[in-house]
Amino acid sequence: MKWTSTTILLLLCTALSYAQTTADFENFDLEPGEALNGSDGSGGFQSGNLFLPNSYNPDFNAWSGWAISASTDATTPGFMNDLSAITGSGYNSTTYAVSYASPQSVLVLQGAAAGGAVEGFYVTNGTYPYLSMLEGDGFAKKFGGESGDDPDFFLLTIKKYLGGELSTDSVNFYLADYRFEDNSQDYIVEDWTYVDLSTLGNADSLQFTMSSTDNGMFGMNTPAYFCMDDLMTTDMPVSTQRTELPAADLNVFPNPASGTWYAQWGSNQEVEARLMNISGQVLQTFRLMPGTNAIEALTLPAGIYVLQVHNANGYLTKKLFKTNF
Amino acid sequence: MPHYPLLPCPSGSKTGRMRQLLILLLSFSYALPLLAQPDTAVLLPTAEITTSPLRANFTGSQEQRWDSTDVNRYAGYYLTDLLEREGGIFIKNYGGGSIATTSIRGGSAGHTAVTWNGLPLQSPMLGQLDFSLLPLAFVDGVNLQRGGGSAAWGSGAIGGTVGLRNTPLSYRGMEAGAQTMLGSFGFQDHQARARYRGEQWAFNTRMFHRSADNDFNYQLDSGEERQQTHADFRQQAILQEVYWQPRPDRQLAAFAWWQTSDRNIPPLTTQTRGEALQLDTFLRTALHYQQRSKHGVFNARLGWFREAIDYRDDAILLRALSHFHTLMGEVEHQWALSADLELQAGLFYNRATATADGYRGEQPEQQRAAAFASIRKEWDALRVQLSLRQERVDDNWVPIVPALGANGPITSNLSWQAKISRNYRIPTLNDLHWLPGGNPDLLPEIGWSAEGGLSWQKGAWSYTVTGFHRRIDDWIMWGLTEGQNFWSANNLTEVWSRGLEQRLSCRFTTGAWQWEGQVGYDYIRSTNEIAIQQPRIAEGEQLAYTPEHLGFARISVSKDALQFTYQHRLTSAVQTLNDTELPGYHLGFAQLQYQLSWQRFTLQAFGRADNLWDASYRIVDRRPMPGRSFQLGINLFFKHKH
Repeated sequence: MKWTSTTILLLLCTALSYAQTTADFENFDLEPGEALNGSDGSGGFQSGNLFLPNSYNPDFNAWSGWAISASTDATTPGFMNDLSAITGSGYNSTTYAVSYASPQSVLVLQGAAAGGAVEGFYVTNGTYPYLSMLEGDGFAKKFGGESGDDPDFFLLTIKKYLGGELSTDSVNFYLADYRFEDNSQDYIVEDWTYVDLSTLGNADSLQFTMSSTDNGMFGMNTPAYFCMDDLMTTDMPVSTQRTELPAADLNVFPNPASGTWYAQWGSNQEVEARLMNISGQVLQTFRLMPGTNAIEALTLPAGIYVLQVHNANGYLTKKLFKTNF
Repeated sequence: MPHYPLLPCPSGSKTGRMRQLLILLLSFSYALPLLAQPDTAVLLPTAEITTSPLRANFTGSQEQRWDSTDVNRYAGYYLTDLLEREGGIFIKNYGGGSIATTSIRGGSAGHTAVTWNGLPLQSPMLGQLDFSLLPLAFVDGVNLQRGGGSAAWGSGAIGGTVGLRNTPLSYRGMEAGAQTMLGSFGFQDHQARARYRGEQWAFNTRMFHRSADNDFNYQLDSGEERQQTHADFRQQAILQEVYWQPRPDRQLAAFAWWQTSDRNIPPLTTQTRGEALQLDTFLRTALHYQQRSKHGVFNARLGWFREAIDYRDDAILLRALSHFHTLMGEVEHQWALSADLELQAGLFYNRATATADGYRGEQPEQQRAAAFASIRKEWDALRVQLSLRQERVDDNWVPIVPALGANGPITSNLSWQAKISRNYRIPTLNDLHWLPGGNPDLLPEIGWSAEGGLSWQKGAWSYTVTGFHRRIDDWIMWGLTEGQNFWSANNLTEVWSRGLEQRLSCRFTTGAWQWEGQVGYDYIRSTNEIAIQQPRIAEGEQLAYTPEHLGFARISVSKDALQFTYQHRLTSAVQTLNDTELPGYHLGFAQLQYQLSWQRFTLQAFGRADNLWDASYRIVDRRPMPGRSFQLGINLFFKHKH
């Protein structure tokens, strides 16, 4: 009887345990020292079941959102070295992701992971914020302040979007913590450290925000960067997996647009749609009718947007670009 | 009445004058011999080359002037020291030898216009001037006009205008001298000057070399004492002036001022180390032609400036090079139409080009042209002045700015003055073209200001009180706007500044002792009137680094060759950019000077104590200031009058 019960339990666990996919960013085949900051205009990076949006401005060579890096520079301070992790490598690997979360960054779960749970990821400080907190720079303070006793901290907060709603629950991780009575316990994270996200539950996307005790009129002084590696997503059961609708069903033109996008929906059934910004915030929800639908872009700031459509059969995501002219 | 010196009428024909002017304006050369030599020997007038009184001293506002005697008391100091100790101006000083900017009547650093012999000095890239690069050794006079002056001086003259003057010797002869000073924290200042004035020609040559280690100790709130590091600087400069007076009623002056400043940027108190350094180099050249007649005075000016900044921080692999050129010209004429009616009109042109990494290979250019006019009428007990200025910047008209001022007596000891004016500041080249964030659609900051006051004088005592009110719209700030992930320049807010200024001074003699004293107090509220998210500023919030209370006192006593001066200054708390408030502070300064004369030689010896009470204070957050310091100096000069 005991043997039978154990066998049934094991079989049940096997049936309920989902496959996991790890986004380790090694698929970019970067050599040590190399990095991708989105200058190719791709609008983002795909690894595992993740999409990491990137916004790159070619006029002034600046990026935000996410970058992919194999930089090994763990010694040079300053914003010129904003693509390096203080570890000088990925988590037991060469490549890792860097996020500039000012005011926030978002990553989107796709494929089998869309709408599923996220197990967790490894995080560490970038070289730029690490040395800024350790030694101070022309903009931001050395943590601990002049006396070394300031109760400073640098906090990464992770929330999820599900169904267009931002969760109230969050996971907090201190990238630096100087709040201890005993200053010898103060620390700045300098190794890859695992962050458990299982408490967040199922998600469409994750939102990352950063906060610090060093703030001013112009916002946070501490450089708003962190590094990520080996984010583990859980594949949804095949029965509940949301399948990707045929890409040919959705055609948007012009793209980029300055005034109006026209979305051509190829199916003969209307579909739910939502327009999100690069931070994952839902800006509009509406229905796409078969045929051509106008989506107003005139009042939107220039940048990258995500149009997501979904019905009972699955979902489809498309990047939209808005320009000022 | 204008106070023109008594001069004979010009004997040259109008055509001849125009041709000379044309040569001057078109050639912009120092080809002085090309101009016709006079056929008779003439005497130099005592008048100095300066701007016309209708611009320099606007009716209805207070002007403070310091002549060469006043400036000499500040030998080895900077213009900032004079302005904050005797002008009551707030100087945002980042520390010994570091950047220093002004705030007058609650205005920003870009709201102080600075002129050198009538030509504007503000950087077209930044719209402001680093006052730590203005040694008093290179000027013979300073005047300070508080309040809006855009009708006279154009862009930037919102909080006030500082004028710097150079003059030839006031007598025919020569003067040569050298001064050396040594002080705390490795301070050294060495100056040399030679001045000559003959029948038609006058020359001034001045040079200085100054350096300091600035390795002063400072105290943290915790009581811990630290030593400042990486704060040493060196400055060197030479100024050559040539004055040529072919006739008593006309004068041509040429100026060339070269200066270099090499300074290390000290780390913040919250920074372990700093490796940044900045090299500022400039060459400023100018020509000034002045012609006087019984009907008035004509001025023509040409200026060409080249200024460069080389900022390096090897620790973060950063090097930022920038430089700009400006070419400017101005003509103005002031007519004395009758004993009680004066008229002035002029044209101004300025072309600026700049190079910087932030312009991404572009070399932005800004062309400005302006016409200005002023009329002053005097009745028995009333003097009224009306001025207008219209400026065009590239393809855009700046709204016309008027100024109306009046003053008159109330009793034999008491008088009143009032002024209303519209003032503006055009966006800088960085505001317009820097990438990322430059915004070519920016509007000028513009607004109205009004002031009124009373002046009382009886015997050796005088007292003035002035109230002011100013609103500036379209105040330019760098901030984050909706959907942007980079900071950009925008016309974000409106600022309301108002306040009250008081000055009391006296001068008297007791036996062989001569006493002189001055007390000043300013109350300034300068508040943001529109709430902003990024940068985060609340409605009604006092602007950062704008103290509400400023006070100063100065007492000077002298007997024969001995002079002692004590100055005291108080500054109230200020809000910083880091969510913190810096407490207010008191500072004391003392100077003792003794002078010996033998035949044509004069020797001055002096000792000074800055921050006499060893106050621990900061003007800018995370930037420590030096405690008590001492300086000793000797000044030896030779004078010979023909």
